[in-house]
Parts: sequence; C-alpha cells; structure tokens
Amino acid sequence: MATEATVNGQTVIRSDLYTHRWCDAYGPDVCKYVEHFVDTAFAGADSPAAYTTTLIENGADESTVALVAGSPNGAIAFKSDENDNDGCQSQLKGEAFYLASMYPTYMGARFKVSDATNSDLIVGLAITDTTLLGGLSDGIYFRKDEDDTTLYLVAEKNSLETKIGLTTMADDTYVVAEALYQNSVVDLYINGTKVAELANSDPNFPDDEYLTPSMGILAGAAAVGGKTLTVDWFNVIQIQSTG
Amino acid sequence: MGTVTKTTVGQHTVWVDGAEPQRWLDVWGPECSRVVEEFVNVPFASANNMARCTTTLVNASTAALTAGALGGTLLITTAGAENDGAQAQWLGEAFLPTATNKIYFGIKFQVNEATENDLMVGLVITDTTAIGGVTDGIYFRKVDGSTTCYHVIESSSTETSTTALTVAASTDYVLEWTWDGNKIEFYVDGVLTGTPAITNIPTTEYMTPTIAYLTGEASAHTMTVSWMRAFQLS
Repeated sequence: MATEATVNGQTVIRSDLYTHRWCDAYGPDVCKYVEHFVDTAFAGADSPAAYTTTLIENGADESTVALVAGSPNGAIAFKSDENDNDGCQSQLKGEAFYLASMYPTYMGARFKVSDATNSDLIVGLAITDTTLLGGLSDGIYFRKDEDDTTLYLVAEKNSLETKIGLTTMADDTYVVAEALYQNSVVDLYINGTKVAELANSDPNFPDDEYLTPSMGILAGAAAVGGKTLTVDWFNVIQIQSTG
Repeated sequence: MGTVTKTTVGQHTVWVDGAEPQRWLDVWGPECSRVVEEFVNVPFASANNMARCTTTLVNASTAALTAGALGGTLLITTAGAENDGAQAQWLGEAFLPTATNKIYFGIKFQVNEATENDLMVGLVITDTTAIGGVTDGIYFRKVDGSTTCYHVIESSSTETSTTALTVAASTDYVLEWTWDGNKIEFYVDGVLTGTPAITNIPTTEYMTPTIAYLTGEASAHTMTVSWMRAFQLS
C-alpha cells in the first residue's frame, strides 16, 4: 500500500512498508523520473526514445537494449556483445537533476545482473557521458566493477570518487538499491534495509553538475551470449525547493 | 517553496498548486484527457522530433531538451531567416470545450527576444502552419513587430482577441486558461487577465496542445519551455 507524505510542501507517494521508498510525487516543485518499463517508447531497435544510448559491439553477436517480453510489471534488459568490455548504456536526454541546494531527492532501482563477477554495471544519476563506466566525471550512482561482486554507492565529483560497499550481488538475483537525500545526508538502503549513509560534506559529493538517470553494463570477460543487466524499475524524484 | 493540494472535481482527483487555485498540476480519474510535459522524460523519434508530437521545423531550426536545466526544459532555436522556427503539436486531437467538459491549459516559458518573434501556445486544431494558419483554437499569440501578446478564441477562422500581456525578453511567463463548461478565463502569472465572450469558442473542432515559435527577423531566436500541461475532465 502507498501513503501520502508532505515534503517541502509537495505530496510524496511512498511505500507504507518502506517509508523511505518514494513511488511518485505531485507539486509545483517536483522533478520526477518514474520508469517501470511498461510503455517505454522506442525510436528504433536498441534505442529507447527518451534516452541517448551507446552500444559497444566488438564481439560476434551484438549489444542490445530492449524491453523484456514476459516480465511481470515490465523490465528493460541491457545485453552486452560477447567480447570483454562490450556493452551498452542509456542516459535520459537532458540533465534536470541537481544536488547543490539540498533538494530532497530519492533515487531507487530494482535490478539484477546475469554474471555478478564478470561484469561492470551502473545505475544512478550521472553527468552526460558516452563512456559511463570508466569515463564519467560527476554522479551519484550504484556501481559494480568486474572481478568484484560488491555493489557500491559511488559519489563522484571531478573524477574523484567515494565508494561505499552496500551488498554482495549474486548471479541473476534482483536487488533493490535506494538512496534518500534529506537533511544533508544520503541514507542508503538495500532491499529495504538501511546499510550506510553518506554526508553531503563528503568532498566527492557531486554538487556542481546537473545529472540525469543513467544505466549501463559492460562485459567483464568474453562470453557467448554476453552479460545482461535487467532493470525492473528506476525512480528518481527530486523536490526542487529547500523548504 | 510551492505547495500542492488535492481536490475533487466531479469523479476526478485534481492536484492543484497551493498558491494558484486555477493551476492544475495533475489529474486522476476515469474520464480525463491528460498531457503533462515537464520536459524531463521525453521520448524523441529522432533529432528535434518529439515522439508524442508532430513537429514542423522551418529550415535548420531545432527543438531539443536542454542539458543542465533544473527540472528540465525544451529549447526551440530558430534558424536565421525571418519566419524560421518550430512548432510541436501533440498527436491526436482530444480536447473540445463542451458544456459538460472542464479544461485547463497552462505553460511556463520565456523567449530571448521581445519584439521580433511570433509565438502561439494553447489548444489548437492540427495545422502545420499554426501561427497564421489555424482555423480553430484557444491560445495565446504574439506576432512580430510588437511585444503585445493576446488571448485568442477562434472558430472557423473568426476570432475574438484581447490583450494579455506585454512580453519582455528572457523573462519567465506562466500563461493559463480554464474552461468550466460555459466560461473561459485567461491568466498571466496567476493573475486573471481576461474573460472574453465565448462567441467564437470552437465547439465543432477537436484541438491539441501546441507550441509554436518563429523568428520575426533575419536572426535566430529562442524559446525555452519549462512545462506545459493540458487536462480535460468529461
């Protein structure tokens, strides 16, 4: 069940069970991206229309971005080509989110990866960059690196980053990773339980660049069939007033 | 800080700006037409071509989201010849002001030039030359050579127009109108500016949300749109 709460004068629809989980919001100061991958428009194959998508394809197959047929409640799959470091990423066009002014912000996603070791993945807010994994300069996002099954929260500013380990990922197992920024602190949750926090005083808190919802995967090793990141839902909701 | 309230209109739930009671932010319900565009999550069929719209570009004019704009914006940039520009009309025509409908239209935007440009925002019939070409609509319109923007009610190419505001460059405006079944009210920045006669209200042609912008001289100009919302409750 969902209930309504008021945050800086706006109405936030949040989970009854997990009160940190924002599902939607209404109000003149709301900026929101609520994506369940049910009616996602595509401009062409591998090209969700609201996003800038980059494919890296050096293997014998191809990298793909597509909605998952037969997924309860909808999902999108990012599948890499078959060489090491093949992959794909999508970033929402425009950059509408900003973390300088202590705007209350929720960022949450439910996702899984087919190979928890031999893959790199990113889900979160990042500056526009066609090489998110390894190339971006500013963002706050969930990331897993190849040869490491740990999912991190990464705060990155001017290419310097703070990494906080959140959980250990397993093959093909969904995780709900969430960050709620209020009152100068980002509370971090895994599967509904708070596991860590990050203060906005961290030197690598990205507070001077506009950011946009971003997702991507790279294969961490050559593999027939590639590696797949599946995202069930991804919400970013920001109250763009300081109360 | 803005606020929001939730109210009931007929069988619908309407989210209303707490400081501007005419301003509808969103609507739930069984019989509503709804276009809410905050320019945050906008599908594009191709460059300069929003997938939910029919976009008409004159020469090398562009219509794209702005990277690095708080809350998201659409930027229309005209090419450099007079009457170059762009218009976007949302696909379909779902809006008709009947005695049993209630309609809200609102938009927040700015232009970088006060005089030498043409603009039209509102609900109008589908037309690839909306500025100067439409036969039916309820909209705000400014033509080049003047800074005056008008409210316009037009049916079968006969219009009622009254002064709405004087446009300044690089200044945000919120332009809105409401239809309650028998009366139309126009607002500028939250202030009621007109309740014109409804003699020319379009009652036989369905309309759709429209944004159109042309430069009025041999120089490129821009229009930046923060949001546009249109609701109809039946």
